[in-house]
Amino acid sequence: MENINGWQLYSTLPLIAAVLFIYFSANLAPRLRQPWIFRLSVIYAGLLVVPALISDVHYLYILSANKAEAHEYADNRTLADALEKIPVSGSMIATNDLRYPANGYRRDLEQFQLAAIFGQQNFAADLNYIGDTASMLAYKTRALAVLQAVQTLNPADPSCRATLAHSTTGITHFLIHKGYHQPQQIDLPLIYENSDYAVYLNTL
Amino acid sequence: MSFLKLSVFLVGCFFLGKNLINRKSTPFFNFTSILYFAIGLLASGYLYLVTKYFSAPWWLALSPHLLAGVFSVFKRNLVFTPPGRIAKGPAFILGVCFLLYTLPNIVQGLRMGFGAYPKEFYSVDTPYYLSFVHALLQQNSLPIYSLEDFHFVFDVQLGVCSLAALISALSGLAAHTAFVVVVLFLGMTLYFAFAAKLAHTLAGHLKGYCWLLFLLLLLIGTSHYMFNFFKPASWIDTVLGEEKYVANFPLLTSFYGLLITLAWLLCVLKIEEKDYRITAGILAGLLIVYKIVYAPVVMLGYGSVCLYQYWRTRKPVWLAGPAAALAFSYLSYKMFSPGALAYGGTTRIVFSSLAIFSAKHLFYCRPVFAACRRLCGWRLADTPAGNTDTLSRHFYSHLRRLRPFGGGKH
Repeated sequence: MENINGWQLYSTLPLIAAVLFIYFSANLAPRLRQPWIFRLSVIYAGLLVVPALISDVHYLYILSANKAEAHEYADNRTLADALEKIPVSGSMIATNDLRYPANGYRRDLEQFQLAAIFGQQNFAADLNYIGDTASMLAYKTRALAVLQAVQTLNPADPSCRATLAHSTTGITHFLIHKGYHQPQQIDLPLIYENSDYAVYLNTL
Repeated sequence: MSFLKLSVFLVGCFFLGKNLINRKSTPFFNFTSILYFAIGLLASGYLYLVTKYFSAPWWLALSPHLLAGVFSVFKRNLVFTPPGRIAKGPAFILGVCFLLYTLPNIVQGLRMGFGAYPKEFYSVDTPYYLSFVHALLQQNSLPIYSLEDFHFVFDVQLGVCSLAALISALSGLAAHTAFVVVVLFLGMTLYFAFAAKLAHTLAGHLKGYCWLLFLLLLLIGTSHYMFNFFKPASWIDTVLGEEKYVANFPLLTSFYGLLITLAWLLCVLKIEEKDYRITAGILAGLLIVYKIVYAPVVMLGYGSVCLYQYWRTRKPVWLAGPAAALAFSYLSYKMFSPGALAYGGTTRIVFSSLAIFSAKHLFYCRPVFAACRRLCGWRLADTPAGNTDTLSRHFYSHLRRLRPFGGGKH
């Protein structure tokens, strides 16, 4: 299995290369009695630094002018209002939407906000970062079935009830993101609702 | 009250680091004090994981800090002499560099970190790792089960999350505040201090403020996307593109990995001094819990430098360092690696595949070898007398001996 994070092994090399570069420029190059080498190395250092400085200042401008365009920005407020109604201890959340809101919901199956905002236990909020061994793929398949069941969430539907019952994980709350594969009608106790989210108690 | 507890903890980190590295009398207003503090801080995250491993109360992680503080008070092993004066010009420019380096991330950190909950997130990995801080605060044994996926263990290094969880537990700060404000700010300040010391050590003798250019190179010129700078065609995208900002909110595990690597590089430059030699070994060992994937390169480098020193001096102490670091790393891996814990250490060795350098990567080293060959062929001037840069002196003298690969006097 090829490890997709294999490139990280080399992440320290730019830093080590930079230190060697400084060492060469400041200590070895002057002794070579070739002034142009030192000047060239200083110019090259400038070429590396100036774009980074421009990028730095440009990003500061974006942060102050329009933070929604900042790097992988996600607004948590409406979601946090809903999550606040679910106790941190002893609860487990299942949701109908596992997309992460940054960059126009580009990332699916990795809803990191749910566990990070208050620290509630989720049934399956992140299915992208799990591995691809046989046991993990079985876990993922089961989690996707529960996701589909929550997207329909019809207590009258036997298959939906069976899927949620077979998950045998003690889901206590359903968090429904309105407008995204939202169940038509949910006959469960509604705990909280705002413009974007609704929280139901699991009594199935 | 939180601030007071946090301050006491940070003082404790200094004492812990100081007594780990050097129990003899040392001056307080010295750069090594920053090194002691960094080691104490990083060791705190490690100790918190040790308490989790033994399912012990978290506050036991602070007992070494207390013991170290008491030891220092009784031994009086700190000397408070007035610090040397810093020239106003470089101090002002250093301040500007610090602001340029930290401001974007501090702004993002403060926006995420203040309030009863994080109102916004920057960088998709921030919430991912924040969930592990919550998990560490809720669970008292290893492996740490994910809060995202029920009864599932992710293969992540928990060093930074552990440090944030410890700060949150002891100071009462919310987990997100400890993680994206306190841990971030401490890391950035230490990174800046190490980069400044490194740039000054290597280039401080140059005319003007040339070393500040090299400092900026270390701070912002070597981001994760440095390789893109070597492709001028991609500069516009690198500078203004959405995914390639230099000032993106950092993935804190990677950032602390780079911090440890930078501190380690500084120690390697001064490795003949005992404090730096010990610190280099501790840092190489700590990488296992902070950023395991950076450990192979650093351990390889540490081993090479120590072997070189042993070859030069024939003192066994140079072999003891890498051996201790390797043993410490292996023990830490067995104790804390989620893969090893969750899967019995047999079915999955998570990062082993990363340690294999493939032939295609060696291909990229060819220009470096060619440059070295060219360099060695040049006529080199004599090393100036009184050069205090020991590494430079040794490297330089060996470079002369090598010329032209096998020639020269031995």
